[in-house]
Amino acid sequence: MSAIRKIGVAALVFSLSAVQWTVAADSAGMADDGATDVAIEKKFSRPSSENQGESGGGRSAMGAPQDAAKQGLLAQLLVMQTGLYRYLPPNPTDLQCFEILIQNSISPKDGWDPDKVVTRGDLARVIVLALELDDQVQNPDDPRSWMEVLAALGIQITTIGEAVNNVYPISVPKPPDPFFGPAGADYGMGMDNIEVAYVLRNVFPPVPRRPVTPD
Amino acid sequence: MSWKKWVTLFGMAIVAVQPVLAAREGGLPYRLMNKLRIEYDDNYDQLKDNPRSSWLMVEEVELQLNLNLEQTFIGLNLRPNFVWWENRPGDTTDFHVYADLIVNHNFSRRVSLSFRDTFRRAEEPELTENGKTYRENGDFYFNSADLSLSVLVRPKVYVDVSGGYVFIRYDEKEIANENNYNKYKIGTRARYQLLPETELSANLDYENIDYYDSPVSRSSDSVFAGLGVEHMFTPNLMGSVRGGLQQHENKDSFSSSQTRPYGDMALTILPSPATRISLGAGYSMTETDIYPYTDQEQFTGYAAVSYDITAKLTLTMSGSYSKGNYDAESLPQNATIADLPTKEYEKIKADNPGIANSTPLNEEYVKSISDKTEDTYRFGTSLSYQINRINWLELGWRFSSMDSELRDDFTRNIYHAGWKINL
Repeated sequence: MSAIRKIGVAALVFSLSAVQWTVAADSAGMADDGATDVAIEKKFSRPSSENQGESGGGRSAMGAPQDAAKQGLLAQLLVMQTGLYRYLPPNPTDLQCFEILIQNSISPKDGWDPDKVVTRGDLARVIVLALELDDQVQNPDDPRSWMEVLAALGIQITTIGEAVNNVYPISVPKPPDPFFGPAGADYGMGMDNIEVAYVLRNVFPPVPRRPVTPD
Repeated sequence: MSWKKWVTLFGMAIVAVQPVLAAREGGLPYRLMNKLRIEYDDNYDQLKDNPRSSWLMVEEVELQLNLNLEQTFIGLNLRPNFVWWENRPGDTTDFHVYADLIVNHNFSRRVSLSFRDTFRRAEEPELTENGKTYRENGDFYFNSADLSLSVLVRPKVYVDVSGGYVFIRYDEKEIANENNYNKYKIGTRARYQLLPETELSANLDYENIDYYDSPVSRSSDSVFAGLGVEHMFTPNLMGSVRGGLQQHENKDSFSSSQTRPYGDMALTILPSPATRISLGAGYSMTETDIYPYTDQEQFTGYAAVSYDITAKLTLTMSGSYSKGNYDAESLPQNATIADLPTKEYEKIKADNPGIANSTPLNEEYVKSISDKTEDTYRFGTSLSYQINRINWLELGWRFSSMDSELRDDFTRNIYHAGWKINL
């Protein structure tokens, strides 16, 4: 076995050990209650009545502070629901999700902020943008106008999970590189592009570039 | 498995999940689109001299299916694609299948698993006329499957462990022998959220590529070790930088082991709500489709701008440049001069009249052809107009140009007009 293979095997053994240790620690309830984890992330609690009809600015869409979901979580759910995941590597970072959403004109009024709690106004705005209904917003500067568009469609924005569930794959996705975009494949250059794109993705897995092969 | 079987398999899978879809609340979990495009390609064979042009019609149906369960997300994008060429001798039709599948499962808040598969079936039939080969790759299957486990090991610290398997299979035996490969990957990455807007990472990856039927030894092992940082400067400006070292080993090449740096940077800017800009550059050693080389040093830079002229009209422009350096020291020792790319073969034949094609490469030949480059330029622009809620029109132009010391140079323009409808 060559030295290079030994390094690879050692890396694998180390990684699996770390994961095994972590899963075991997780099962033992090392740091969080674990009982409601995914549910909280996908379907956090309903907002208080005080939030109803608010302009949305500055108010959390959640009830209890410990349930507060950040914009990073919202972006992760949106890239899945909009179908933009295919331009990203597995387990993308929040920043990668922000980038591909920005490239598809989906962002809160003040842009994405990983540490910012999702407000009802921001949630309504990104859902409307993901549904490509922004031309129906009467007053884009008023968060209530974005909510009204969703209300007219019967879409509730009481939780992130419920709201995002109403998003379907976007019609004209914009990948980072238009050569791989809706215009389609470069016929005849296919393999060159497959190789280049694929290698770039895998040498630098965290950086979103473009899908693995021409679209 | 033939493409018909693949399509049947996907069809059956869709039918199988229908009851689940029917029970699901919220928006439609799938979208069906039809895309019809007319193109004009002025050099579809990518030749320097006597290029051939053709009109072509592309018909594509796109099915996007999302299944969002409590802890699991399943997404499928399937795009069968039919192409008709108005002027392409030999074969006037192609049928391609593109499929992307992703399955994400959250075991808990700390542990998640992500699987993604990219499948391509492409028809690019080989074409040889009057002893000249116009297209040589031929039909192929390509699949890339990646599995990644992500674990929150400490507050703000993630460890990702991933593995992958990639293969390509050509239909034509001769091409398959030279180019079919299996690639195995395994890697680990640690991520630490230093600040809410800053993430540091370290990675260690191993990769093996095996050209199992190749008459020359192109197979290799690589190890990558690197560091990276992602930072959000403002909500409208974010970027990332990564770099490290990669060791590439091919025991049977003239230079059996190479260690080189690699690096990558990317920047996304949102100067106004209507404008989006992406910039990036990267440098690394990668594999190549130029037989019999085992790798190339490649630099790539790109920029893309997208501007919403109105709510319904969007202009997109993009350009990229890549430079590949080919070091003859990386050629396999058991290759012959007949295996070399056209220009190198012709140079050795000119320098050594009467030399047999079966002559093995040696140090002298390698020195005489060392350090070749290939520059590729690409530019594209498109204008997309949303007619109403279900119809879109698009106009576009794509330009590509290659300046190579190894194979034929070419320039190519493709103009297209497309209509897309949401069914």
